[in-house]
Amino acid sequence: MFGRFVSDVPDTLFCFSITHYSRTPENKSMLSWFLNPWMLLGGLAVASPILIHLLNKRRFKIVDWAAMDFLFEADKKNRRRVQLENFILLMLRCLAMLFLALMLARPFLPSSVTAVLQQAQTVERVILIDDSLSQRVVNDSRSSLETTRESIKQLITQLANSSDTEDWLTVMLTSDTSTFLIDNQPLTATTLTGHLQSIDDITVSDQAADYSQALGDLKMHLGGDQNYGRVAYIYSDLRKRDWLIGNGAATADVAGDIDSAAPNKIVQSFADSLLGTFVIDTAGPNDQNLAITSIRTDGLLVANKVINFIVEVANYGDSTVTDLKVLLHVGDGQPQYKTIPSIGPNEKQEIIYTWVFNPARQETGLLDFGQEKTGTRDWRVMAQIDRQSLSGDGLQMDQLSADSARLLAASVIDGIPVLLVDGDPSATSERSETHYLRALEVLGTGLKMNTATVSDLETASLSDYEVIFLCNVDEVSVDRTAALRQWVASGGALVLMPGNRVRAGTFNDTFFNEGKGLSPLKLTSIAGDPTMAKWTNFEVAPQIHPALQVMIDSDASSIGNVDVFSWWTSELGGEADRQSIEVPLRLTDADNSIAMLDRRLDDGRVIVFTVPGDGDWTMWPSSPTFAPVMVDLISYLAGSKKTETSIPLGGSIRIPVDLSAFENRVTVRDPENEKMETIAKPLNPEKPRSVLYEAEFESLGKRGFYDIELKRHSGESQKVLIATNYDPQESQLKRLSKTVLDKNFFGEKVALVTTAGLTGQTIDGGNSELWMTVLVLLMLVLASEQFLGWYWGRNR
Amino acid sequence: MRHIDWKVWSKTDRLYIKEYEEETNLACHLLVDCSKSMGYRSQETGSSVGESGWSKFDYACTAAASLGYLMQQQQDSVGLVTFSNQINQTFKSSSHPSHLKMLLHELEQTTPDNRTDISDPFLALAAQIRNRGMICLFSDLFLDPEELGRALNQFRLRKHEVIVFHVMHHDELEFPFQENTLFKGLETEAQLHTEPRALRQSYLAAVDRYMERVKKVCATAGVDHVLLDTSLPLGGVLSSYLAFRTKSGGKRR
Repeated sequence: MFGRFVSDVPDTLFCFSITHYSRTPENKSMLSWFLNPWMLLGGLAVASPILIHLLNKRRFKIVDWAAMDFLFEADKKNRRRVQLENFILLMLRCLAMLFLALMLARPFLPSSVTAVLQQAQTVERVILIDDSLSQRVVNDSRSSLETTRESIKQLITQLANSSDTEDWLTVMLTSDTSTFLIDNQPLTATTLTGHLQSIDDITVSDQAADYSQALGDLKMHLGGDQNYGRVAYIYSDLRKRDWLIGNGAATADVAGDIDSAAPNKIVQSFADSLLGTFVIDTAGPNDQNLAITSIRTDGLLVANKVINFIVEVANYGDSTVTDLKVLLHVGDGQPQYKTIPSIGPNEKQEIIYTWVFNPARQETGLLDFGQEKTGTRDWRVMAQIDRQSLSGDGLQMDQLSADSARLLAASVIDGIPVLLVDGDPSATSERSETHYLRALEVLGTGLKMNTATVSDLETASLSDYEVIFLCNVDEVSVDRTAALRQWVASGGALVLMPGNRVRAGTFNDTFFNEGKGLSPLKLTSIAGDPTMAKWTNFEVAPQIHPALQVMIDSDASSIGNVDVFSWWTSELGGEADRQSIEVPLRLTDADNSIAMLDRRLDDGRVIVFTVPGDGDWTMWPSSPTFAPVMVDLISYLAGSKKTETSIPLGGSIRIPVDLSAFENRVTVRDPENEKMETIAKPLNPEKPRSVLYEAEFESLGKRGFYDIELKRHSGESQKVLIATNYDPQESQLKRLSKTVLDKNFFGEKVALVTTAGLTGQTIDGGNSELWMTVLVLLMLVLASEQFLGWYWGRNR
Repeated sequence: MRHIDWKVWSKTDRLYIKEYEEETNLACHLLVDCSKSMGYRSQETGSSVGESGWSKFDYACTAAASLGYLMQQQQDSVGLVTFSNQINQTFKSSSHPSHLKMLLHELEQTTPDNRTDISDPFLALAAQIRNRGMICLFSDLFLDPEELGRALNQFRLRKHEVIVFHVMHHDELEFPFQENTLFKGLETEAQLHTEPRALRQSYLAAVDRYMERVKKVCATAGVDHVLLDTSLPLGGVLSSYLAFRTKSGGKRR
């Protein structure tokens, strides 16, 4: 029928619309122009006004009338007009019934027609592909990504082979929406092979999908040139975390929590301007997953010390998993096994592995300053769910295998590098502070003690040490004081132990410096009884300092038994922030003098003792509590300095480069052993003379270990190991519930289909519904019927 | 010249004209239309005001009887003629009290029949009624006004005083019908199925035009035209007309 019509009016817009329409096989019937075609049966109601009219004619009164002549005269005059008016009213009523039925049938203009109205026989097919980690989920031995690829290939093959529209293809990946995989290329039989290859080459990016971002970019792309129609295909496995605002709001299951920046709102916002928008569900109905969500250690990684690895295992499935074996690989050694007897659905459990690292080199004896630098060794640590221990059903419980392993780059130091600066090296060695402190370097403490003189301090590379003890030191050059301050600010820990060699004035000038210095304490004089005839004791503050905990735990009376014969009297002063100062230890003398002070300074700490660890001053160094307190103090001070050893996939990392020791060229080897180079940039561009640089590595997108190599000027190299891991949120495979999808996410403008359902779809999904127009027409008809009825009635 | 009172002239030397009140032996004829159209009565009894449920004929008879009664009380003689398209009954005028009873009996017995057509009967009547007197016509006047004019002239030529009591039913004046109605002619076979609301305006205009013509014809013939609306109480209408006549009575001769 249409074909003949077309031949009559060639080369017109209308002609195109009809041909297009008639060729689309899905549009065979006009009924497909209605959402509720059966409502058209309501059109039969058009007969009702006529029926009412006829029935009314049959119902009448009979009056025997005398003045028939007048009646005939009036009738003759009026008949024509009245008949016409009645006919018009009848027609309006019939029209109202028709419109009512039409409105209930919800007609729409199929996009094939609207497209033509927009002069759009060219259609750009924009495909957004989810290439996040969750696309690795395996269903029926096929991953979601494979399903996605197959679906897209089928779609574009079908489009390329059909001649309905002239198609152009744009493909975006959620992992990188700033560039296009295929950027608006023609889609024809000749270009198809290339496109299919590009689709085949898509791999899982392993990164989290940020749909707010991706759809925002897609919307920007779609907001461009409107000369042709567009159809959007959004491939997603509809994970709850992907489709909720901020990606973290996994609990938001109600409409109220979803605001306008949420992905579904973005889709709705651009769907209006498109010929069609399809969201294609690529996931299985109920995906199960077991994952290792974190791996961490409980303290500083030091060789020869017991280290705890804490591994967190989560079950994101619906049923309990029993006898789950989890392996911990450290380096190339034999893995450790631990078994979780039972882990319930949505439950997380922690397993603790203990490990002792061997030192990088075997040393003998104690080393003096300058002889040996502290060695570090990087270990590749991996916690892994033993999938072989899962039986057939168990494997079904872990459809996403990629996140069943988690990596940690463990940078193990031989010992915590401590520098002991002795201001009085000539003193009787057995009673000096450095004597007792040096004695701490024994197997199991993980400490590496270096001794130096005051003059050595002036040239020492501070960044090699975690903790520096200044025992009996009262004078340091101004430059070095500033360097010390910077070192503390960037995370170093300084312990001041003024003894009897210290002159109060010089000490105050160097360290107190009218309150601007490192020490907030101003020394006054030495108090007490040097003859050791009288003594006083320590008193621990109610808020117990982490370093002193061991004193309390070992024996409560031990504190009272420690005799202190001499001490520096001091006063707290200066501009240091009182919030950052803690006094964990005092003396029981009349003034309740400060014995120990802890000050936080940016990332580092300064500890000041007014009682040095000197046998002439106090009995403490020879008491059993001294060594544990000092070991704990050093661990506490060193532990406050954290280095990132595991970063989320796609994240970036900055490596500080001290140009005084290293070249500014930094090389990195990614998990696939590809080499890249970066030039370090000044940390603070406002200070051009500063030697502190940093090298930044952005978007580390491969999962595994990154080897970063810094070259020393001497030619040696220092290595830093970085592990990248999946965002643990990606392991949650929870999908949006059906009700949430229906209610909040997809409407008439957006069609939610499965990959199988996509083939049957046409771009009629993006139609323009007309019921509103029909409603307006209906109201107009009813209003005019009422008005005319009233007007004509009034005139009769 | 014969109206000059010569006796007064001879005494006073001034001319006076003699005037008479015709107070005795006035012969009044009541002409009552008993055609079918007069039988129209409202079908919704009680709905119309006034003499509800009365047909035009009932109303006309009552008016004629009342007038006859009043005449007789004044010792005037009263006659009755009932007619439709012919003269049905004629009673000569008489002032005897039993005569009035007979007239009333006759009015009660008569039922409306046939169509209105006054040209022939009135010609005959004009010849029958020799003595000058008063003619009171009670009719709905559903006829050609020209014909009415001619008929009235017959009486006027014989020096009768004529009063036309034009009886109209309230429904005919107001046309209050709403629903679909089949109007069946009382005098003719014609019928009309119509929606009365659509016709009312035109109908009332037609009635108005007709009334105007009737009034004009009556005025031309020097005849009083009194409209009797069946919805109004009869006593009120008659007394107001009689009062009007008393006031203007002298000037009418």
